[in-house]
Amino acid sequence: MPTAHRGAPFGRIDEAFSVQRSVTDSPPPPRSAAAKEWPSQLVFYGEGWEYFRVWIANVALTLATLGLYSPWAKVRTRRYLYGNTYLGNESFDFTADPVSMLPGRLIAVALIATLWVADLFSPLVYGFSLYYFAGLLAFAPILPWVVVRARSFNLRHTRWRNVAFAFHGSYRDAALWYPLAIVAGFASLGLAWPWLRWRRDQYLTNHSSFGLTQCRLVGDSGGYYGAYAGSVGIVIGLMIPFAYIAGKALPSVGTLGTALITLAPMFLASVYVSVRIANYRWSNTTLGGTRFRLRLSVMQMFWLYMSNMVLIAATAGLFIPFARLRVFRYRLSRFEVFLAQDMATFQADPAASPSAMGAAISDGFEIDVGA
Amino acid sequence: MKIDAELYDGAVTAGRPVVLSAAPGGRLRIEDAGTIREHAYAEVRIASRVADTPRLVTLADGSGCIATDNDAVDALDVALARAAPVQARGRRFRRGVDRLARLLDRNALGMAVALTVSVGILFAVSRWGAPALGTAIVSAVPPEADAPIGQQLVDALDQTRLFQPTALAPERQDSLRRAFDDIRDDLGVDARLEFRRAKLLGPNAFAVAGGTVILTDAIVEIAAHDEELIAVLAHELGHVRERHWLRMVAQSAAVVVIWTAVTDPTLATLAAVAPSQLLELSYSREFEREADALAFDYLVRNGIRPTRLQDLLKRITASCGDRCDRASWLSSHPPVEERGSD
Repeated sequence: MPTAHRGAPFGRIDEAFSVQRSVTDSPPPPRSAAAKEWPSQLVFYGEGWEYFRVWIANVALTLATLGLYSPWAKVRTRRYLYGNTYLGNESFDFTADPVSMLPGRLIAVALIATLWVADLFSPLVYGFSLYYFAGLLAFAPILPWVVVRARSFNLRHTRWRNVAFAFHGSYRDAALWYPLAIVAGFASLGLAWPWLRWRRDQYLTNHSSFGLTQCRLVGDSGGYYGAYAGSVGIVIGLMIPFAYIAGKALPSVGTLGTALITLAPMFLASVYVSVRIANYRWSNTTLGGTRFRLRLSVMQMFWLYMSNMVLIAATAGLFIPFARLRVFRYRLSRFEVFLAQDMATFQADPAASPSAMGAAISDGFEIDVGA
Repeated sequence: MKIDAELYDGAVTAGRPVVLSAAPGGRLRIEDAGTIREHAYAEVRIASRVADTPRLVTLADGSGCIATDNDAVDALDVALARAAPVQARGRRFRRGVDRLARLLDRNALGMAVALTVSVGILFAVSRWGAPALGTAIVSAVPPEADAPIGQQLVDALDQTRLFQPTALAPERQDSLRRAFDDIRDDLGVDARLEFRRAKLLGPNAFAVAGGTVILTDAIVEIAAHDEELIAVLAHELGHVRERHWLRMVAQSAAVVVIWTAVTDPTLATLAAVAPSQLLELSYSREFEREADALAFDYLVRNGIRPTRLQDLLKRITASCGDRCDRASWLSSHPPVEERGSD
């Protein structure tokens, strides 16, 4: 708890939050030479055992209520993570009401259960379950609606200094960038996929805002192509040697070990893509004049995931909350904010005031799936 | 009791220091730069406590006070609710849930209780819950539903390269079918025997939903005596009689519910998990023991040495050596040392 910083006058970035900008493995995003900016960083004050207590209480209550508690679990988890994440002297907050999330969750669970039962009794066509894929296809038209609602829900309830984030993307654009882009990606044999994903991320970022300050994703799809090309290189370069090693090692490590050795390059490639894209995306995002930079290391993330997997397995799942915090803390530690304006000068959107929102929420239920 | 807080008006990210306290009549008093305002409890929303994270106290006009002294905010909340019982009644449910959660995550004692409850529920579900669910599902799903599900699986496998038509002589098939029919009638189940050549699956046998039992050519060829195959068939028909495939579905469902509680995955992840992907051609050990017991009983009653099963398993082990666990009846069945003795 940064109580020491609480008395700091607003607008002055405490030195404790500033970071050195000398070491760069990616060039900082462009900015006009005249602009003044304050480098800052998100700081996380969560602790492993404290979060473990929040987590195990959530697990106990979710199990005891046959899952009905899950919206509370979600909100409390988020509030723990956001509430311990500080920018300057104030933390983020998540203000969703679990009760309003309940109907949406129940409907979603009912739909999934229906899909499951249909799958079980479905005829198989070339090994594919007919009803299951027909069901997924039937969901495709509502997918964009769900994506927009979920992102809007999550951002609307995320606040900093009592000002909410927001998402204003349209269903029509979402319909273009979700089901249609996936089809187009397949149709192009994957060649268009980095570009499609880039445009989709642009759609998501460009319609997001903090109060009245709009987010923008600048740059081009080159970074995404680089990420995917690199992952293809990893798979091609490592798959054959690893498969060879797995074949040699089979008698001593058994089936599971062989599967892990064979799949390791695939996993490394997927970590590579997600890290490179996250770095590129955040480093090219602007919020008004404010810029960001994310510098995750592929090997560090790979190590965190692999070691987390081993520790979760070795502790029968009890390490899950610690594993989450390790990743969360590392991500934040590599995330920088270059504020272009005084922290106290971000305007809220008057249309998004809690009193205006209250009416909108009572009209329908909240959707928090996906995201 | 006075609480230092920062007031953010909800229009801009600028704050100013204020002091919160409880005024008579269950009203929240805000001392704001020399002026004093009071708000009725109904117009005030105090966020629940999560560990030691800052609390947002929202007012009707959209402004909010952020306070970090959690114990003081707890006391303020209680004081206001006590002084305004009518207004507090509408929040009883939400406050109750939050208090319960807070009891469990506030300290080591709560943590011990939560851990005990979680482990207890997991134990009860695996010990009694999943079997009871299985029994309920088995009695709810009519047996006629089984056959198409199993047939679809066999048809799908026939379309792949995994299954090829059998190369066994028709007389050999017929003699095994006669033995099979005897066991089937003895156990009183509806079932049929099929043969397939399946190189990748090695010496193997399965029972799919609806009572179709499949022997691979390899297991027929490796058997030194028909009684060894009779032991295998009796075992597989045990699975058929107990409708183990349906019980496996119930268990998978229970596993997914638990997994959801522990990891809180997105619902999109759940939709991507198809139960047919969870169904494998192998059963849990508990079901294997049940099938073993039924087979043992049948063999003894018909004057066949129960060790025939072990003889066959030993021969399979000897034939495949180090590759045993990859593809053979062994991969889905407990090691040789553990079975055939009870």
